Amino acid sequence: MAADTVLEVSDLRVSFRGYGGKTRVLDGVNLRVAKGQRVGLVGEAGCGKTTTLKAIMGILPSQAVIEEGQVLFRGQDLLKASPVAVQSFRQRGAAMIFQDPTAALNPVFTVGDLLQVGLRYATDSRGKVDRARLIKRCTEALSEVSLPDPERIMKTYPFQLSGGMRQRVCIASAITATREILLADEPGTSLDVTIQDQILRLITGLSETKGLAVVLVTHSLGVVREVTEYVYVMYAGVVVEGGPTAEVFARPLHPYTAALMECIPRLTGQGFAEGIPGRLPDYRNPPRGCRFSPRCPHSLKTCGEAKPSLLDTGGRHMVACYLRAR
Amino acid sequence: MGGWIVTTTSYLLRRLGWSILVLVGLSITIFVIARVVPGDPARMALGPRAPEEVVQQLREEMHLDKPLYIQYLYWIKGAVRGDFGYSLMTKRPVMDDLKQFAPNTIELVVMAGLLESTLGLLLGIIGAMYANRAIDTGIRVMGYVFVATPSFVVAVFLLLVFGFWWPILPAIGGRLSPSIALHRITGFVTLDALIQGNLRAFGDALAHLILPALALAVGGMAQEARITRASMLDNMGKDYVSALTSQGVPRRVVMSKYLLRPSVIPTVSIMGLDFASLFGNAFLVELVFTWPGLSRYGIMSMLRKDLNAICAVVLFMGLVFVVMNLIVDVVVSLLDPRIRLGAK
Amino acid sequence: MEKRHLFGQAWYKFSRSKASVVGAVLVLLVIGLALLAPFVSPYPKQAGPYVDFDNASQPPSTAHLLGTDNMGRDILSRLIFALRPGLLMGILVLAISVPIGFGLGLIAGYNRGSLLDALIMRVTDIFLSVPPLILALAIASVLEPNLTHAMMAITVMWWPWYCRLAYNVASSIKNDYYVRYAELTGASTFHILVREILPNCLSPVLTKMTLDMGWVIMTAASLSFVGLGQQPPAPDLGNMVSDGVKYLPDHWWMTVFPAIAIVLLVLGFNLLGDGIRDLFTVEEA
Repeated sequence: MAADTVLEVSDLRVSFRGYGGKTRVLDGVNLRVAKGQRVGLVGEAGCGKTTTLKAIMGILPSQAVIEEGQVLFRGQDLLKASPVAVQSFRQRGAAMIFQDPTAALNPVFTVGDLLQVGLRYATDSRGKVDRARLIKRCTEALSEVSLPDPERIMKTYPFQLSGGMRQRVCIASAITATREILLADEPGTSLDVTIQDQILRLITGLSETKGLAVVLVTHSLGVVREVTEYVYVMYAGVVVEGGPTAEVFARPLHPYTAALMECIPRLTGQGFAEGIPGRLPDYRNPPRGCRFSPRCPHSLKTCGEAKPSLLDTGGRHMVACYLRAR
Repeated sequence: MGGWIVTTTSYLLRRLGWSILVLVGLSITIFVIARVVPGDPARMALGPRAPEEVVQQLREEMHLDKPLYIQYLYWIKGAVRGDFGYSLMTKRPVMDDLKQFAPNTIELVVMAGLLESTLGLLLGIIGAMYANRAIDTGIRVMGYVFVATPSFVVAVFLLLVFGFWWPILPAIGGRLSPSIALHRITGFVTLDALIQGNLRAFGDALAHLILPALALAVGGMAQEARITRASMLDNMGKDYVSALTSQGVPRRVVMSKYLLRPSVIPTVSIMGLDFASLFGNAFLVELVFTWPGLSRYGIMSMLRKDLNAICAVVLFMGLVFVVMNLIVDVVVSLLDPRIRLGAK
Repeated sequence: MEKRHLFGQAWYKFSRSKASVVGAVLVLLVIGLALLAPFVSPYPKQAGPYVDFDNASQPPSTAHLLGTDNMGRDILSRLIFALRPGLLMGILVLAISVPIGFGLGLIAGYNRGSLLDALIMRVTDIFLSVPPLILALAIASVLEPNLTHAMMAITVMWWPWYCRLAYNVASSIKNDYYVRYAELTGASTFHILVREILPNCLSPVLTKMTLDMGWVIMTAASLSFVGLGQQPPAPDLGNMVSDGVKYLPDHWWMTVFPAIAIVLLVLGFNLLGDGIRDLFTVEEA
């Protein structure tokens, strides 16, 4: 593991139990986040991005089964660590902001209550609690996320705030205590585009000033391009490509990534692309080999038989594809 | 803080106005039903052997010759002053009957309500915390059975078990053991005993209260336990719970404080309705335990077609029900800021 | 997914909960017993007017599995026959109160804000504001005590719940696009109510109806316990319990067995109703 790596997910496979057997939701997720780096995790709806984040934080629902893989934080595998270690990770290692800020804030408590309780356990959870200090730090966090009149907001309830403000509150709760990583699940997706833009700028700014590493989950290539330095592309529960953002956009290696890039509408040229033919695989009965192979225009025989691993093609540009990697 | 008071007050005023309207509607309904009964109330009051002139005189006094709405107005005028007419059964003003019997029923219902809410909540929380394990299964099975058991069945079983087979608690015998004399002040036996410092009477009163209160409470207790458990389990999967867990807040803190408050809102909401059904079921329990309460009085008056008494009892119960619902609304609005602050 | 798959999925979900299956079995058993009462009960004649003082108040034995009552009648047979008025009450009360209450609620909800809505819902509120049992008692007492009048009383107190339920659903979805679309394309009000709004109310209504079977039976038993329902000598669960109370504790079987029967009956419907509700609950991933 490289010296400045702060989080590494290695070959993670997760299934969910349910009617008709197991749904293999994640089947090989690999990603690495360096200190202070902004990493994107991009893919279409339902490809397992949120599940990956929840697996990292250890908040998967009870029907989830971790089949294989590791989530390494400072060399320790969180999936096998003690509950105390996991709790410590949540308090000082990483924080997650959820897709829907309204659902993520307890409706019957004030913003101040919610911020304080998070901070309280992240700092010294034993011994006496210095209320004034907690309140001061939380109010500060609210102004760090550019919320006006933070003292008043501390006393309001989430339903009294607008969507954009709620999202900022969620971000504030992630930065009250000093942490190294921010896991952001589609921030601003449910909001107005201009508000989303502000939120993304906020996140970028915080990352730069605090040295916060960010894993930004999104389905939007535009967002990835704006915010991230490095990007992973996910398809159907597998990370199929990873590389520096500019590089992946300029020279997409995996057929899926290439097709995605094609789909971006351009102002010049032939107008809209046709989209990618075929459908997502059935997660209960996924293809034996590469999950994209049924739809891939270049698929070979090996593609259908065994899963390709994520291999480096030089310049930290990795791809899981028999076509590209040797 | 001031804003809170203003909005809550306006919310409550609206509810109050509404409740009054409903009470008026109720009074009209029950009055009409009572007066529509075939038979002559005056004749029934005086008996078959009274001379016709006396009966006619009574008819005029009772305004039976006037149109229905005039009769209603007379009745309402009297009701507001506390005069509900005379009871055929007890041959005295209905108001006196109310004053004698109502406190006993109120004590019974309040005790049952307390037992129901505290035990119901507790069992529901335990069930949710140990979901699907042995304790939870036990609580749920008990819950199912008790919900399906009408209170008179519970009453009969309690009577059988604790009254006869294992007589540790007094079962039949009314409110107090005959050996204890107590001076009545408020009419509420437990309060009176406390006020006068008569601990023996207090203990005796409580002992007599437990079995019937338990019989009444059991159904509602089971229902509340189920709703609390379901609500907690439901909210356990919500993002705002995993959000707190993901910040490193210990599970027991998340479960106890941050899960509990939003989860008990549905339970408290039904408490008001439950309270009403307590009043309704009270008569069954009062019959089985021969408890000298209002519901038993009401049933007797219904069986004997004592119209004045029926109207008064129904109106009184409606009033109590309405007041209870108002109280519940206040409590719920305290728990859930969205309601009192008027969120959409 | 085809129809067969849907049914299979429903059955999987339903059978996962043992409680629901138990409920379904209980309900089917009870219905079966009630329908076949004359053939299934050991002494069908004893369910009616019958007196045999030599055999009176016998404890449970091989001849009389649940014992005999103070008139010498076999309790088991009477219980089986008592299932009939119980179930009948439930079916009739629901058959009348549900369409009326539901219909009124749909109309009120669809015409939300109008005078019609105000009228219907205020009347409903009045009925809902009284402790349910009190209203039923008041009505039943005013009329001659018998099964039909008890049924009428319970029906009167029951319909407001369905009205409120339908009202809530109808008024909340009436502004949804598919309803407005139907209006725009000129569909008649009847069509809109029946084809667009009604199917959406189905799941809570079905659940409630199943659960209500149990409640109605319980209410009817309470009424007849007091003497306001089915009159003796016809067997009825409630009056069997109240008859037996006088003979506690010595002849406990006279009360205990009918009481247990009531509990099992209501329990069966409750479990079944819960199972149906779970079927309609979409679980979040």
